[in-house]
Amino acid sequence: MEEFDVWLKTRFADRLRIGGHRFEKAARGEIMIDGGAFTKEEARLLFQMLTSRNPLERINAAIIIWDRNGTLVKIVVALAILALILVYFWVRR
Amino acid sequence: MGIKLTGTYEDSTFIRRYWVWLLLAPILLIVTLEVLHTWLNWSIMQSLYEKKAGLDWFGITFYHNQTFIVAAILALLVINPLRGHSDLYEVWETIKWLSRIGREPTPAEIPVFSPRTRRTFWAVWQVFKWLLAFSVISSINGIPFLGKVTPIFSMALEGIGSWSLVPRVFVLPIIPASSSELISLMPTIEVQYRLVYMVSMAILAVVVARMCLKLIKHFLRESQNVWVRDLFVILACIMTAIILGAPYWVMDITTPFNYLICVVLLASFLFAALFSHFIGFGGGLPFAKRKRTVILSIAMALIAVLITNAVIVAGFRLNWNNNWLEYEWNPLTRKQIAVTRWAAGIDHIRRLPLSALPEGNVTETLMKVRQWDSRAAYTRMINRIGSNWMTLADSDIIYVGGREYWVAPTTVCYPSMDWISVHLIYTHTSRIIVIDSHSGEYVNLTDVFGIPEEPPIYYGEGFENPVYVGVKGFSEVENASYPGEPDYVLSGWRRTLWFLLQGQLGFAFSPPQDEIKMLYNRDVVKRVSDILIYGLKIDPDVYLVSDGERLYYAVQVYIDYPMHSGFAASRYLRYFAVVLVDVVDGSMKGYIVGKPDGFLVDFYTRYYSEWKPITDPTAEWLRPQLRYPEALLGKPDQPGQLDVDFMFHVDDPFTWRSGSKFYERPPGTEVLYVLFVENNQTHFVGIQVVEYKMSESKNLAAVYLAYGGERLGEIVLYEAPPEAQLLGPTSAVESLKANQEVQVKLNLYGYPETSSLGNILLYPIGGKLYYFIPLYVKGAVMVTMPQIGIVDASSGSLVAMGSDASEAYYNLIGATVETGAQRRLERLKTFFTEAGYDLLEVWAIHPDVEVLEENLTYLSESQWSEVESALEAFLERHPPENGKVFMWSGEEGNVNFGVLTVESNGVKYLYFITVKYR
Repeated sequence: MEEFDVWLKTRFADRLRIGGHRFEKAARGEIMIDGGAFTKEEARLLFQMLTSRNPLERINAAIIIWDRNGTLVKIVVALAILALILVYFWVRR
Repeated sequence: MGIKLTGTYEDSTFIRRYWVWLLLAPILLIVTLEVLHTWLNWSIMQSLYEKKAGLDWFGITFYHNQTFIVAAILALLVINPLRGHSDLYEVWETIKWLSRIGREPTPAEIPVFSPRTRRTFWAVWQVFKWLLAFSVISSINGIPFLGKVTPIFSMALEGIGSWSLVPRVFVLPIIPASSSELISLMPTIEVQYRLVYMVSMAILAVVVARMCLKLIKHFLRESQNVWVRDLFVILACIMTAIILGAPYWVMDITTPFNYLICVVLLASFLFAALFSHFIGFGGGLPFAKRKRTVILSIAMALIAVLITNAVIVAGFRLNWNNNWLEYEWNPLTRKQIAVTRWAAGIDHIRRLPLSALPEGNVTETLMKVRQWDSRAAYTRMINRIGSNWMTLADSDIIYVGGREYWVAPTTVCYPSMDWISVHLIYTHTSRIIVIDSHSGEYVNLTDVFGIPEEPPIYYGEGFENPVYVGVKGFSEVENASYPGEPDYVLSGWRRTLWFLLQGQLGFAFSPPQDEIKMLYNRDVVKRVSDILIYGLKIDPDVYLVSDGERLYYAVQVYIDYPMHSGFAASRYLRYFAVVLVDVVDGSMKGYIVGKPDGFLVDFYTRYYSEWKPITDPTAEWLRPQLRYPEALLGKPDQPGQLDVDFMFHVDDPFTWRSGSKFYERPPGTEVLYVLFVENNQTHFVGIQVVEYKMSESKNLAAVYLAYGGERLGEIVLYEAPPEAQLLGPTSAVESLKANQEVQVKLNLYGYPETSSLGNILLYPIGGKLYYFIPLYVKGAVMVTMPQIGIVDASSGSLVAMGSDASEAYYNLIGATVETGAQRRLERLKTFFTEAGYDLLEVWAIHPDVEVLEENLTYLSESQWSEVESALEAFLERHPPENGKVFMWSGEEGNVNFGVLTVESNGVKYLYFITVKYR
């Protein structure tokens, strides 16, 4: 955690990889995680969740990141349309 | 030069100033003429049906104005309830906005409307949309892509089905019903629930359409993911539609789980829509652990239920074949068979073994074999027309007075197609040709129907043009004069408009008389179909009937209504009514044939309350002449009740699964109307012979008999036992052609170039089944039947031919010719005894005077009708005293029949007739 705080404060080493997610520093002090913009405080929380031993915490963190970078909405929409198509053809059979 | 220039300038100014009006004027003129034409047409129809059928045409056609009420209400759905808003306009605005990105907009590109103008445009747009929707809905009596609404609304108002059963229908997928309960629920499923379903579908469709427009706008314009909410609202609407349609599903053991999957998906879509709206994707997921846990728990729970159900359904599917009875047969197929049989109206079909097929007197049966088929009869009749302006409309089989005839009414064949010929001269036809279906001999129409004279046909088949009668300066063909009331009298401005639209300016503005009598809608099929509402169809095979005074076309009407339940594999089919159209004056009478069913027969009976039941004493003469409609029973290209029964007569699960007892109509066969003799009683029946489906052996599988006359509506299925191995029609023809003796005869008659085989007819004779297949020698306008083949259905090798059915039969069974002669002699004797005379066989008579009245020849059955007429005439001339007719043998093969009369002066006269029968 301390190392992460150091990374947040320092200016160099602007790219980090934690739990398969890419942390980048952006302009105006924002942290980009997998393309999604977070505040430094949110990034700290996500770092904690991603490095937690609890797998549910890690999944939660991944979902939050996907939500922020737009992946979640794409997955949900694709799954919803797929489910609807499957159900439609299943009941019309 | 200057003047010319000014003129040109003025012309162009005029065109520039009034171009809109110049463009609109012809359009307005056409629209006005069209409106007036429609109004005049409707007036004519209203007057015609009121006068000739006692029916309110407008009320019937437009469901007693419900067409307009329903259309007006449903059209409200297209109105945007938000005042001043238009989803379509907003999308257009968005597209314009997109095109302006990256450059400065010009003032012309950004239309700015004041709120008042905006509201005015909105109001005009809503009125336009409503009018458009009203026109579309009222013209089709329903909602595009969804189906008819007005007839269903009308049924609901008439009390068909029950509103209290709608909740029961809604829960059908999770609480299955038994076969009998399903049948009792069908009226509610097709009326009340259908109405709820269709209106809900329409509302959902409108919501989806609006949400789609919003989605486009939000996707293009909003930076946040608002479009996701729109998308999930659309998905939720679609899922709601699927759930509402669940009572129409094909339901097996997995249905409750499928239904639950749909409900969970709906909940998921609603949850996603609410989440998108209140929280939002793309940053909305909270970091607060509790909130996040709640949201994710709900999502997980929904996914878990979804997966569990999917796994259960997959489990069922994996074990399907080893639990087929429990999974499919009991919950679905068994009920489907019951409901389909009810829907097709075949649940009353009696099933008997083929050995129970009725058989009557051998001689009687052979005397009534239908030796002439439709095509041959038509060709035989065509040369009797006798004029160039008439042609045969059709040849129809009819049953009158215990005999079967082919009747061919004529229709107009215009030698000249000019307006006067078509509308003023060729107003009618005057020939109806009749032949005996057994002997092929011509018979007088007056003798067949017992009518005083052959009537002219003003209303018939193929009479497509309106005609004007009693017009000064014009006479109808054959100098005839229309004796009845006209359908409509054109006078005044109506006459002007009518003939103007016909392009007849002379008749429009300077007619020979002010009032012109018109006969309209004269094609009997169209005349009847124009008063039928949705769900009623006409058997196109119309035929003639008579009450002994007048001649009518019998137009048979049946119910053919779509059923939407997955349990009904057939449309709703019932014989509903017969409508009589007088051939002379076009007056119409309807008789209801259908029996009350608590559903559509009841609805249509109430709808056509002017029509009497067929049991009415005024229809007593009609009943014996009626036959079961062929279109309802089914044709090769138009499936009917029998086609449904071919499959749905099976009620054993494993026979069903194996498909071993499914039937099919053999190629080239159809329902044939023949006379069946049963215990010396003759019945007019429709017969359909069937073979096993996809059978290589082409064996006879069953015979369907659909009774007409007094037993109208009775259908019996005679099933052949599998071990019977009887020949089917296809094999029978092959057997006939394969026989060497037959081949010689076929070659002699130039088969197949100059002769052809006719209908394949099955008759039971003496406990066995025989196929009769006539051979016709055909010419352009004449056909003869020199031979008829007979095939023993139980043995393909027993085949024979003869000059008529009797000879062929006796040739087949190997009886001597004497047998045929004996039979003819018996028939002659029966003629006198059946007429109520005492026939005394004597050695000799010694009168004072012997008068030989006639020499008759009766060597083949085709000569019988001639002999019969001569004997009848003889008895009319010399009615026997004390009812005694003497019979004694003459020369070789001759028999004499005589009547002894003692004159006032005591002289004994013997009047006699000689018949050569051997």
